[in-house]
Amino acid sequence: MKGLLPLYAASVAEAIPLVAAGVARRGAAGGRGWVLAWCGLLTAANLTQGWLGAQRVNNLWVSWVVNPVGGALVLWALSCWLTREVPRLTMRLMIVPFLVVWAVLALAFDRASTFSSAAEPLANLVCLGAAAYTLVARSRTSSADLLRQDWFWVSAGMVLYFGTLSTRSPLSALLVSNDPALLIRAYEVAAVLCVVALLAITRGVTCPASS
Amino acid sequence: MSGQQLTLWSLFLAAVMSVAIVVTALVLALVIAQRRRLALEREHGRRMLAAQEEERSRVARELHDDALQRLAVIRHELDQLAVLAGPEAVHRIGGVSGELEDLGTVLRTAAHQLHPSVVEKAGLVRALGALAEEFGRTAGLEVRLALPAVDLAVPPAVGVAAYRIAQEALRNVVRHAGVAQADLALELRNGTLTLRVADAGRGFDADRQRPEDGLGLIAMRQRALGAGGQLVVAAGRGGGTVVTATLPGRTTA
Repeated sequence: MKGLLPLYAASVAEAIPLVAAGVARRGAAGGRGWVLAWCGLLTAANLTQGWLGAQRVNNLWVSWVVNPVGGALVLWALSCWLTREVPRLTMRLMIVPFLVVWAVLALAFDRASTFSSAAEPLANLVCLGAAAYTLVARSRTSSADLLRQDWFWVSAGMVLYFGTLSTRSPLSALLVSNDPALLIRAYEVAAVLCVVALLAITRGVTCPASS
Repeated sequence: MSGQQLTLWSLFLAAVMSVAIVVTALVLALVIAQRRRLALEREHGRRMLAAQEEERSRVARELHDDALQRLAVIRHELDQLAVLAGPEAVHRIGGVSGELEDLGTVLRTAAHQLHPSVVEKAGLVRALGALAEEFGRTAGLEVRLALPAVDLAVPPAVGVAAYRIAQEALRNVVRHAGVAQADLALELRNGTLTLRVADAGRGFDADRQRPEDGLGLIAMRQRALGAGGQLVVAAGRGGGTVVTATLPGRTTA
């Protein structure tokens, strides 16, 4: 139980942006609303997986539902913070090919009963790239204090979150059958970084309105 | 732990640590790069506005000291001619003299707009009052004033910056807000001069403002930064736009 603490903390941390935005009574317009929807999806998935796990039922299939929907939500949320028309439209249009490629990889290379070795890493890499692009593109043109901008904290948090998941996913697929104890330890290490990332996202959704 | 598992585990840890380090370095680099860029832009903007203000002042002086003086001399000569001329010529000379008087008014207004000497001569509070009257007269905009009863002795650069920001903000109300009323407030508290121009018009999305949309907002921001202050453009409570400039100031003697 004690060793699993980072995992539980990461699960709880996914709900923190929702709670914090509610307590701080910040608006959920534009990108913030979609980020909160993504956090809500992750929280719901965690609760479902927890309940299924307690029933001794395979709960990995939940990720297969959450992964593409979550990726689409993240891309749409980040696109809301892009000020130039072409990149914003490109990021939104990218959702369709992303879902198609994800489905092809999932059907061709992955099995629903275990960890994804192709589709999930792809989704993580796409979200990582989109978050890094948003972070750099907005920072290069913004004249407002970066540390007071919602998009800065959210995109930086997402870079850390998806960067961590991108390293964890391939290892999960390799270790799940060979060494489950090592897999849990890898999840714990990744969970610590995910908590930090979600706290950054929380800071973002509770920032004063963009100027 | 087998050799292969140890390798995998080491690779995983190295990758996770790399992610954390790269993200931290990226965020720090972006913050530092942005602060340097803004400092350079601020300095560049300050110099550019100072040069612009100096050039405007020179042109205004030329208009006032040369063109307007010459006009006065020409009118005087015409008056002299009228004494010598016949009734028909007197009538025509009177018409030309009237035209010259109008031209003088136009040039005097242009000189005033180029360099608001009223800020230096009469003080910021009276200059803003005159500006509000001017907008009422020329653009039909009713400007509701909330100004201090006593004049404020602010540094000249701050006074001119505040005047120019108010001028640009009111011009934006006329051009974009689609309303006939605006509020202009000025206060000095704890050494900070706050100028606020608000309207209840169409408003605008500050997040979507792009450089190509116009230079007015950029110019206002640069004036505020150049004077050592800052400018915030936000949505008003009941819609519309609120432009708030906070500048360093000091009270009157």
